Amino acid sequence: MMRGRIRPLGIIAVAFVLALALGYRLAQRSVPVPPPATPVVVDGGSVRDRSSSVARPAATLPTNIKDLDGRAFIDALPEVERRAGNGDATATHLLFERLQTCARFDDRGEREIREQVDGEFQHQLEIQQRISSEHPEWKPEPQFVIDEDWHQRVLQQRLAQRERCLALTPDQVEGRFAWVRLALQRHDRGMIVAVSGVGQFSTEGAELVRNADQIAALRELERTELARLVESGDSEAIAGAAYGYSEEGNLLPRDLVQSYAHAYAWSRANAGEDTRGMSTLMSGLASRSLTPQQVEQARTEGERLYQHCCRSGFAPSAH
Amino acid sequence: MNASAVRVFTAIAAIVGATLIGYRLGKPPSSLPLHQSPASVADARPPVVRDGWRMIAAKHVTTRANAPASSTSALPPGPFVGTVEELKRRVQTGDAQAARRLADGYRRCQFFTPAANEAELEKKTLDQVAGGLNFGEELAGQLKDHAARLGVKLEESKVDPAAVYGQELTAQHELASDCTGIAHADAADWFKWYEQAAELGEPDAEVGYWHPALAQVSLVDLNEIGHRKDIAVVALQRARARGDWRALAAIGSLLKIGYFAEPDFFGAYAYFFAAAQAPTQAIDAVPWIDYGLGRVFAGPDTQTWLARELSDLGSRLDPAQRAQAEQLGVQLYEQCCAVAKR
Repeated sequence: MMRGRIRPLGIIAVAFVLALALGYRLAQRSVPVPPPATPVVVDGGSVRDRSSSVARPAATLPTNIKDLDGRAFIDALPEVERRAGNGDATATHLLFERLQTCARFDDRGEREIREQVDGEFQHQLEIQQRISSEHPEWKPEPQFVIDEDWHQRVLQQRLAQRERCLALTPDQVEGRFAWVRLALQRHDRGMIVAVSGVGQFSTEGAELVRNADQIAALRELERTELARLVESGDSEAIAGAAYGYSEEGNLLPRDLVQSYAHAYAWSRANAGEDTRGMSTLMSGLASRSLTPQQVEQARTEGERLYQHCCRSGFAPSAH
Repeated sequence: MNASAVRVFTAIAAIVGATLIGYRLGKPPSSLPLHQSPASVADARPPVVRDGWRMIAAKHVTTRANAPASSTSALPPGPFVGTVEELKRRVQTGDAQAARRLADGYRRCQFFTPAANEAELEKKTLDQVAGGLNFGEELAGQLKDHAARLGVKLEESKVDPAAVYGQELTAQHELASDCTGIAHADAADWFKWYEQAAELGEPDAEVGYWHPALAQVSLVDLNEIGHRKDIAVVALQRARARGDWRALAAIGSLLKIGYFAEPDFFGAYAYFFAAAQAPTQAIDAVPWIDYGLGRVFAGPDTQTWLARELSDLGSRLDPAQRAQAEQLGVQLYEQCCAVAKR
């Protein structure tokens, strides 16, 4: 008899619990999603906005993605990342370049950017006018003419950079190293040459200290990949190594003997052509930084490199 | 109504009631409007203010053991070159002051080249003083022009070249006495001893180590940087535990620059604010502001310097953030240094 009474009570109890859970679920679903832009200053982690960390629908990319920037870049980011992940070299390069130029971004506001660009424009214009008056025969290349188009183009680039950098999270920006690693592991020639030479892809100062462990591992990979390209007789890679190992180069630790050796091999392989750049590099190293013994050692190494990689001519550069 | 109808009604009522109770439990508190912005939520409830340094310290301190504090006795007297061996012996026994003395002595001798005789030393000193005075006059002229444009009146100060020469000659004699016989390679390696001083617990090296260790790393092996970061964090944590307010200012600088994580202006402001709670001292108390122009920019005392840092960082925060950072700063100072342990 007791069993007969317990059964409906048990059913009611189970139904009660289920109803309780249902009500809770319904209430949770009705809680509004917080707005995407959540400035995070309070947590002490960063001053950047993390709005882009909220997933956005994948955008349809234009055919030429090289110029994607600003909001358009942020909107297209998931798709660019997907393509880069699938081995699209153009997407990987774009991603790396756009993230890298946000690494040392210090926002001082739109007004300051406008004032700065206006100032640069006036300064460049004055220089151009002065050169023109002193050398009336001089005509700059069309892309280097300083005019209102140049002014607006630079301004739009800087504003787009600001928009992009403010929207990216610190983690996304730091993630650029992972994209480079991926590209290097895929033997992406363009990336190997771009990151190992001299210029905008260098990592220095606080950024270098902050990411020292990651960069150490990356530089190791870069050296291996660059050496592989050099072995294959890639002219640009040999020039990249010559500059990359120099005092101003990106390859760390610096190796001035290797710098000289690669410059020597490149000059040997390009005998009869304009080798002034490499000659300047070698004479600078010989007079400032290397002992005569080291120069001798570098020449021997350079000759070995030349005999090994380039005696029968350079491998085609465009892979 | 029969008994079964009552049972069914009760069951339905219980289920509906349970659903309503569940809904109520799952709903956010009604005191917060549903469409409140993050900022207004922050106003309504004090946010959990996280100390960005704590995570950095936890990561590094666990990877490196604290060095023991060392006791010191009076340093050996006489010219530096004659004390080197004794100082090195003392460092072996854990004497932090001896390590610091070696670092300072070697650093001072870095660019020393001995003169062939007294006449050459005097000539060299004279050239240096003349060059310095000419540069000083040039600089003073520029400063005067700049001040005139700004409408600021500068106090005239007269320099006595003979007195400057006399002081400089004495200094050159002392340098020669300290450094003649010191090998260039040893002098160039001064940082090794400074690092040891920081590890052994020399107070100035503890709070100042991070600056030479991390500021110029372009020629340093990348694997060495991680090692230096560990030493810097441990040294600062130890100085802070000792109650040294300068550790707070150093942490503020590290957070601002971003050597360990992305620049954190909120955290930097909080730590500088904490440091600013300490009594004013001459700027010489801050070992990482140890070069000419750095001192000029920092100002004559610690409060002037900290006020400048706070003004710069404060401009990057909104008033609410500044207030939160100041609150955190007061707590940090209380925890570290309110009962002056130093």
